Amino acid sequence: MKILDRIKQRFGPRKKEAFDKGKGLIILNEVSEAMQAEKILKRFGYGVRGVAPPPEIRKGCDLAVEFNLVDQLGVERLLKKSGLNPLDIVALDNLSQKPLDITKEKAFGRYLMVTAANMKITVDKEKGTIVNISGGGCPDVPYLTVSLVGNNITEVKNPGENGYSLCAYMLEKAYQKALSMVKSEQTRECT
Amino acid sequence: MLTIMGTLPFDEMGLKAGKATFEGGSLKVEDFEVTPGLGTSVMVASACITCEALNLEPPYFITSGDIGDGKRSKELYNYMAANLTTLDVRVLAMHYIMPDIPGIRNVLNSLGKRREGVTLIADAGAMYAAKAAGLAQEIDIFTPDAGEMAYLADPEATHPAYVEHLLFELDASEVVTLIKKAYETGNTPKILLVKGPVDYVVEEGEVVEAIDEPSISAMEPIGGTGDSLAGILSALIYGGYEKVDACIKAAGINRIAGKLAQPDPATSISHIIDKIPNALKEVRLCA
Repeated sequence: MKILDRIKQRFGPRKKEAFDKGKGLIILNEVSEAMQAEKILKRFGYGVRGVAPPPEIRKGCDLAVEFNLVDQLGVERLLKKSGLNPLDIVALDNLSQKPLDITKEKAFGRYLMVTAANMKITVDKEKGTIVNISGGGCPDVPYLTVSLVGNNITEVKNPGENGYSLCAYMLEKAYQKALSMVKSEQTRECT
Repeated sequence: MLTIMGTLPFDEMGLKAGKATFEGGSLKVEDFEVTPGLGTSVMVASACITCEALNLEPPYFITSGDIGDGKRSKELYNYMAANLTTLDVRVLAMHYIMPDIPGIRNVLNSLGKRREGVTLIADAGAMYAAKAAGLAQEIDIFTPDAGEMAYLADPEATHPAYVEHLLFELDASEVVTLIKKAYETGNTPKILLVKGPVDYVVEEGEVVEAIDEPSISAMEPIGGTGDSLAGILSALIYGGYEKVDACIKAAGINRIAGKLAQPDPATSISHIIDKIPNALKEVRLCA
């Protein structure tokens, strides 16, 4: 399908889609809490992912956590144990959006740039050094940049641990992709 | 007055407002001093450098420290909404800040009848907030990159993270498709300066100028090159250049500064903004 046709299809009238039964949405106070909840739940083996909360409760830079409703009791218990108190837990239909989960890669000689949504991270493939971070608009991006740039990607704290915003959420995705590519590059050099 | 609002990444820094100066590699406002890095500090430093070269008074910088939890962003929105009427603002440039729909709405509403006399420029978080609030057409100029252009083109996205896969996957060479879609959905101001391997200056949805020289591919990964562009643009408009003309000139000046810095992907933005005065001379905007 041509790109223009795909765009027309994307923006054309939508057919009413069936509800995605069995999925729920955890609404928390802040993006940072949602990121924390996603991380904790994943660590304990729950199938979760970050998604946009319903439009009527969005403030502009929000994130919620999608999970399997069947796990609700266990999820709530774990969140409470971790000090997280959801504002609400609602059922979700499949029209909901979710953060981009794809990245783009571009090589500049020995440097590799990984883009996730509006965030870019560039690493020296040979040394593993993070040489630049670009993009974003939320205040934690400049903050995270200070602690990341100039340091080795295999040694720094990942941005998801210190960030709060959706920009940090996307920087984390770019970081993880760059980290895996640097590691595979280093493994290849060793063998 | 050229007024710039935006956060700086310092947890303990409260609200500060005053003339900004850039000397010896340091940006100063009130008693606070910082070496410009990615974000608002680069934008303000670039505006300071451009204003000085053009013999304009330095920008008035209103900022607060926010490391991402959004608390001081709220303070900044509130301060702006409460105090804009007391400031003699001719150009208001809004930059890194936690996107907040009520916050940006209050700032714009506070301009009231003075809106017509003020040129509004939004980049970074302020641009995200204006689009998410459905207020893009209340702004005069947005300065998105290709990823942010996809955000503007997606009517349902409230942050670039939520952009439809299809739009994100479009190649950079197809930015014009995104520009047209964004304009059709009412999510752009009258003028766009779309930054990237080719910089597009757009008026009413139509590309009026495409700037691709000098072509410095290493600038793409360097954090802050969009911020320097926004700073130069703000200063040029404050200096009296017509908006579209200022966009064209700013794109060229930023590229020339990049060329003069002879960068590679590991170059720091500070090396590029140091070259802005020479770039301004090269395009004969100052002696």
